[in-house]
Amino acid sequence: MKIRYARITHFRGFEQLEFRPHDHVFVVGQPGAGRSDLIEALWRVLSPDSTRFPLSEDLDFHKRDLSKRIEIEVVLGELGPEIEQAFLDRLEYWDTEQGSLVEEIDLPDEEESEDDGSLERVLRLCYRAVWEHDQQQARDWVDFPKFSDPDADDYKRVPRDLRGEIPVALVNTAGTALSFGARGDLRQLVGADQQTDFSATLDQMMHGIEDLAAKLVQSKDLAGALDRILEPLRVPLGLGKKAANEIIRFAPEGGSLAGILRGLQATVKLRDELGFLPLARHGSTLTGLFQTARALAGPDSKGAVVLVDDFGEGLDLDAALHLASTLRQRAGQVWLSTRVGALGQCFRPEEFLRLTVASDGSRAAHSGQPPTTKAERIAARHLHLQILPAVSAKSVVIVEGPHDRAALATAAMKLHAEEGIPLLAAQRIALLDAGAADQSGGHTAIPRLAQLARRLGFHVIAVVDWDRDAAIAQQSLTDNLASAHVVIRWPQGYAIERAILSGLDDGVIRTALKDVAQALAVTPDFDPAAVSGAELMKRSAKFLKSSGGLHAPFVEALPKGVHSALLRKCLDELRTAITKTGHVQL
Amino acid sequence: MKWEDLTPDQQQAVMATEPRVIVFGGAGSGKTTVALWGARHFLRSPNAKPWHRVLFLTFSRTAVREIARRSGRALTDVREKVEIHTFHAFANRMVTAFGRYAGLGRDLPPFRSDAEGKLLGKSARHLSYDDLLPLALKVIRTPRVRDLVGQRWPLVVCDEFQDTDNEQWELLVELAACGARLLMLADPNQMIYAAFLGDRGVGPHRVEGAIETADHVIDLGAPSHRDPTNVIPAMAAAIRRREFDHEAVEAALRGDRLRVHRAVPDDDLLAKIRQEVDDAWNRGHRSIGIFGHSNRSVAELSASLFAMGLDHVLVGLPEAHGEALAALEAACQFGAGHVDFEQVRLRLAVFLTASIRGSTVPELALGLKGATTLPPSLVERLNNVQRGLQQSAADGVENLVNAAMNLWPSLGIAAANRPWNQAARTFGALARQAQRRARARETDAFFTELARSVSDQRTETLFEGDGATGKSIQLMNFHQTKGREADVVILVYRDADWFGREQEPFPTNSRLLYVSLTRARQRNIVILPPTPHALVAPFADLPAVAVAPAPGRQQVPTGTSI
Repeated sequence: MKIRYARITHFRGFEQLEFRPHDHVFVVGQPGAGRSDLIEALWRVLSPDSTRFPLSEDLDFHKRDLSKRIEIEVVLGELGPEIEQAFLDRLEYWDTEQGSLVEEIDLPDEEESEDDGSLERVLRLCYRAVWEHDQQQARDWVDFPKFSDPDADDYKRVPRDLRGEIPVALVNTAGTALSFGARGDLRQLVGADQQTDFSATLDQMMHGIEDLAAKLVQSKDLAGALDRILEPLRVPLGLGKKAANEIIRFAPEGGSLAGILRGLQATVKLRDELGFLPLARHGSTLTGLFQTARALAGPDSKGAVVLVDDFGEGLDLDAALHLASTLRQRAGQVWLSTRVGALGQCFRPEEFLRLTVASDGSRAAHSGQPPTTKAERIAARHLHLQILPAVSAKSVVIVEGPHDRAALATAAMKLHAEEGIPLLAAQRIALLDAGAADQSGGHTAIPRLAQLARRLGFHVIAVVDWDRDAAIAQQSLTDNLASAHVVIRWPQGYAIERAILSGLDDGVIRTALKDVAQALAVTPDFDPAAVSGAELMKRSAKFLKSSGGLHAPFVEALPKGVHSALLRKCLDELRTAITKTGHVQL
Repeated sequence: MKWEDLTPDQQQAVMATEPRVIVFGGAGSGKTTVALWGARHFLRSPNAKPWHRVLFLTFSRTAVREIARRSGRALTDVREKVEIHTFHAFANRMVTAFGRYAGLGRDLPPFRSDAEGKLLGKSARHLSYDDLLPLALKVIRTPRVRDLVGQRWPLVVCDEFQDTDNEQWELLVELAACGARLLMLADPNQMIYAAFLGDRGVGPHRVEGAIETADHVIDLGAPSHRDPTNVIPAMAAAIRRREFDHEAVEAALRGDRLRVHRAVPDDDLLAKIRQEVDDAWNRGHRSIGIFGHSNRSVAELSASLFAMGLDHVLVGLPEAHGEALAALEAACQFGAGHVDFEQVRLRLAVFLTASIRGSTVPELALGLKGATTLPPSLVERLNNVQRGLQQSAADGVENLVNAAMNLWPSLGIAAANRPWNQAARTFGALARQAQRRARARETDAFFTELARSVSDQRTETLFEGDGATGKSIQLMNFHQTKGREADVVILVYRDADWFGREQEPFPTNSRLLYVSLTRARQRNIVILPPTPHALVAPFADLPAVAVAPAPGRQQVPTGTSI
């Protein structure tokens, strides 16, 4: 089963959100943009347990405006015959090409199967909640919009037993893994209601524990101690001369099965020399692994819609990657919400759902498109390598190549360390370089990556060179302005190397070159002491490009209080560029 | 009932797997039971997929449900997967669910009941009862619905197959074309609709044609499981053949399985019925069917029985029941200021039209609708009613509901009080339910709930035909008896009964008589008027026979024979 369409209206931070997943969904976004609310919303409409109790919190209503209805509507596809027939009369049709509901179909005289090819049978469900002022709580339910008429306040509710037919699993990474507790994770999995050998084993354990505990009082010394306690009570309680062990026994947890089961904790032996250790002692990673694996083991996880919030918390990246990939394979559709952008490697670009929140608190969702052109495929490669670490950022700065990025990042660190100027990250600005995975040299890669980043809801700032050829330069500026929100251009004839050297005294340059050469055991192909002015700058710029790039070491080698003028200016512009659009000429 | 209790013939019918199977059997030979067992057999077979269901098409859902209920634990595990519908309810389901994908538009035209059609005329902007089956066929024939239908119902059972008309037969053929096996249950001797539905294609050719295309024909024969002694079926069969002097009839008289009360005048009728009812109860019988000839005579009888304190369920007049509910709701909606009084008058007109059978619209209905002038006295009473509703609404919902319930009686129209009063009781119950559901919410919520449940009930009466189950005394006309059974059946004939122009040997009426007589598990009681119609007059000439007591039998509580 897959969600083909979801609409969230007036729920928590969402005034209105519509989304049409392509397949699986990798949910990322800025903090506070609503990842958890999205997962909760889907759980409300899909799980039969969501409306078990009336909603007493008004916080679920957007901006606490209780006059409007909460609505969470989903269109479910890839149903399979069992669900289709369970919901026969309520089925509807979905145009997979248009991504829209088919309200009616005209007949059919020459209707052909090719026309049917884009039509899929779907099930539409809607969760709604209405605040009842006199009761000070909300009434909520799930209905079939097909037969409901909100204008007439007439809703055809989905009976609970039917809601139970919908295969959905919520992976809960909070709480104890492998527990027998009341919410009975493990017992549910064993299928304790049916005929299994588990109940008999439980009984056996109970009796065994009772017997052993009862034997405690056979200890003569314990009996003696108990006798002393009982001594003054014999008369008032009318105990006569009965032995202590006839009057007192011990039972764990007062003999209640639930209590004993609660007390049971899994211990795990991963290496012989460590022996069995409680799961919690192995660290949060192992607990997280078990919780996720437990969800995968559920009978309904296969082909189900699996909802996971905050995936990867407490997991190391490699384990998280493995589990995410497994979830993606097993589930009909996984909605994996996470802060760990690197997990995006397991997903295709069109499976990204990035949530953003504007300064006025309004939320929006952005998703990647399936690549149809070569340019998009190339950009898709960037996505994985470049955008993943930036998923939680608000703005991205795209520079032409790795050296630009290294130099700007190092300059920013130096300014932060020496003058306390905040890092770009503090303003949720991430630095991406367009050239890293593209051999084309960068300048044509920027528009592609910028487009992609824009589609995912980033404020995009491009930092570009000013080519010597006027025509090419103009074209490049136009292209970049069409893709990015802001284009910051180095002065004419400047690339990153000259920008690094800008405003530095010859002496400072010579010292820094010497330090870099010494530290990295490289030798300039010229004698810095022998040249000066423009020539020194030209030769130094060339040297910076050698040995795979000495940009960052050079910036680092500048003495305290000395900064490249253009780098500083560029960083200043970046900080203001996050709220504007257009061309900035350095 | 256990598997071992089925006869070899019945077991064979249950196990049949051919695409088209006809099961013949006399009344009470267990055809419906066989079909339910067949459904179970299929649903528990390895071929059954989790999404499979069995569709049970019938003329009276209640009758099949009754049998399913009595078949006990055997069907428990598959009961949810056996879907029992009348033909029209099934058609309505298909049209409502998928009509919008078969060119009928997103918003289906509103449904117009027979009475509404009669009073307001037919129109293309409304759906009528007669439109449903052709539309359903259209829907099922679209490829996208066809797949679903074929996937869901690999087995379709048709009960009372001998009475299917052309459209119903076409629907069955279509379901078979989708991939369903057909299991047709038939008893040509019970064909009772041919007389007035002949123009729709009901007739002997149906069964004859089906035999030609059937892959397997099974005859369960005459033995009745309703009456294992076979005394009653044999007697009924003889009477159907007009052989009143047959030994089976004499045997029935001698065994006290048939009693005849001759020349009972109208004044004595109630006392006679009371006497037989008391006798049946004293003998431990639980269910009693009282069958009369016309709706009107049955309704009058019902009123009198109520008056003498004999509680019973009146089966029939279903449409009038639904229309009365709609009128009651309209009255409440008017009181609350949601609709005009015109609307109330229109609903009353429809109710009156539905209550009175016949092709013409009652004059008063036209007047209520506003097409003709009403007598001044009635106009005044309507004005009073109008004021009364408005005033009671001010005193709260409960008063409003009560005022609505008293509406029809206070108009002083002689007709249709019975269906109104029955519906009023139902309405009162619905209103209380709506109040509970609406809880402390605004009155608007109450009216929404009320409208919803009335609409559901009305739809039920329109499509499902009957509502009565389980009551110990059921009163109905002869045409509604099919598929039902009772320990004791009382057949009431009156001088005024009209049996059409049919002459001896009364082929159609005899079949109807046969159906009525075979409903009884223990005893038939025929009550004749002083000058009975030739159809039943031979009962009066039956010889007086000494009744042989059947010890042990009388005290055994029956009703669980299936």
